[in-house]
Amino acid sequence: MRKHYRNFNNRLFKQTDTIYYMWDEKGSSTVDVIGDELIVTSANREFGSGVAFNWVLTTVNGSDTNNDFNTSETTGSGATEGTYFTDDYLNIASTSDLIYRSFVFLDNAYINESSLSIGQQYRLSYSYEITAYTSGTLSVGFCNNDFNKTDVNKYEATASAQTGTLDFVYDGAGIQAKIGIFATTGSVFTAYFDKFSLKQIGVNYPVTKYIGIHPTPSTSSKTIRYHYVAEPTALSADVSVLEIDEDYEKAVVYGASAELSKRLRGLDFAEYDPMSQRLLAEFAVEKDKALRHSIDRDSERFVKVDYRDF
Amino acid sequence: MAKRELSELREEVYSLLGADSKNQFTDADINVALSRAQRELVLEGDLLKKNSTASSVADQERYSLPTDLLKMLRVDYDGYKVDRGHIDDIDQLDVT
Repeated sequence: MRKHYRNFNNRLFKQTDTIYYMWDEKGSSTVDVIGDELIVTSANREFGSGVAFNWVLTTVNGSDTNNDFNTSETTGSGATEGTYFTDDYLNIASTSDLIYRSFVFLDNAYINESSLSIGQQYRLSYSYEITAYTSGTLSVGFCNNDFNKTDVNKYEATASAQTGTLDFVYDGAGIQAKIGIFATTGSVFTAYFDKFSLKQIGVNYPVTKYIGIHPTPSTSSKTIRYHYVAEPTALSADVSVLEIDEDYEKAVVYGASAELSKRLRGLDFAEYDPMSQRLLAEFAVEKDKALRHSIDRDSERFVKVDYRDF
Repeated sequence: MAKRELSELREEVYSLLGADSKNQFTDADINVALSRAQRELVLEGDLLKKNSTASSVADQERYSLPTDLLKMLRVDYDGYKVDRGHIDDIDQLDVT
């Protein structure tokens, strides 16, 4: 049976009793990196040239140089630069200390610990290259407050530039107290490290969406037309991708700023005004300023973008 | 309107976040935040509308959807708008 209806332009349309329905199907599970970066400051991940960082490279035991590496410094040469290394990066060398083990570390004070949950899985990743190896064991991972290793990857050979990953279950600040690079006594090697990252991981089930037409079509080649909101292109390469209008660009910039500002400073913002049927966002991007933008739900355009002072 | 480069938008975010923000975040962090904000705005405002078509197959009830679908707004079948129903309302399913 067909019925008629009028749309908002008072135009007459015909409609059938055919319906559509949608559902999701769960795919096979994969382990994916999820969540935000937990080593908050980029200098502690990437050792940018001339930028202060919080890794402890010397007098690592807090009292003398017994546990220091022979070389532990940031440098702009020695590793294979490109995908895995960009200036500067960490250079670690051990020339065989037969009495003391050596290590460098980043204290968990520089990790966003409030986001870590005991029992959850996390992944530490990093770039590494071992250009010379003679003896001993090089380890990368976590230690407790006494510098005893708790979760580590071990290396006992030269290695080309590549990414190392360490998946572990968080047991608490006393167990995974520091991220560290460790060498056993008698170790002889030269190694480079860069691009440290710590993020939560989780099991992901990819979902595929399907549509059903009911009653089942009895003939082929009838047109099914989908009108939909499309997934925007992820912004990952330096190409021109935003092209709706200036207000859209501003809203995206301020939206991103608001999120990052919230992570840094704990500022909050409200998003939706159900009374006006408009999205009214006040993005707190600085302590004393905010952006308000509105989306007109009828014209589906941003209609107002301005600064205001609190 | 002239398009702008993603790098320009990133610089605006760095500028808004303050002088030390380049020590706090990488370009990749900013890209993720921009992508997330963009997705949220597109979803809230029903922006970036598209349409695409598929052809019916005799005796086939189930069809794949566009891979970039974020939110379905309307479906037409054979030139007519069709209403959205719920899978639980249908007695027998064709899952071929």
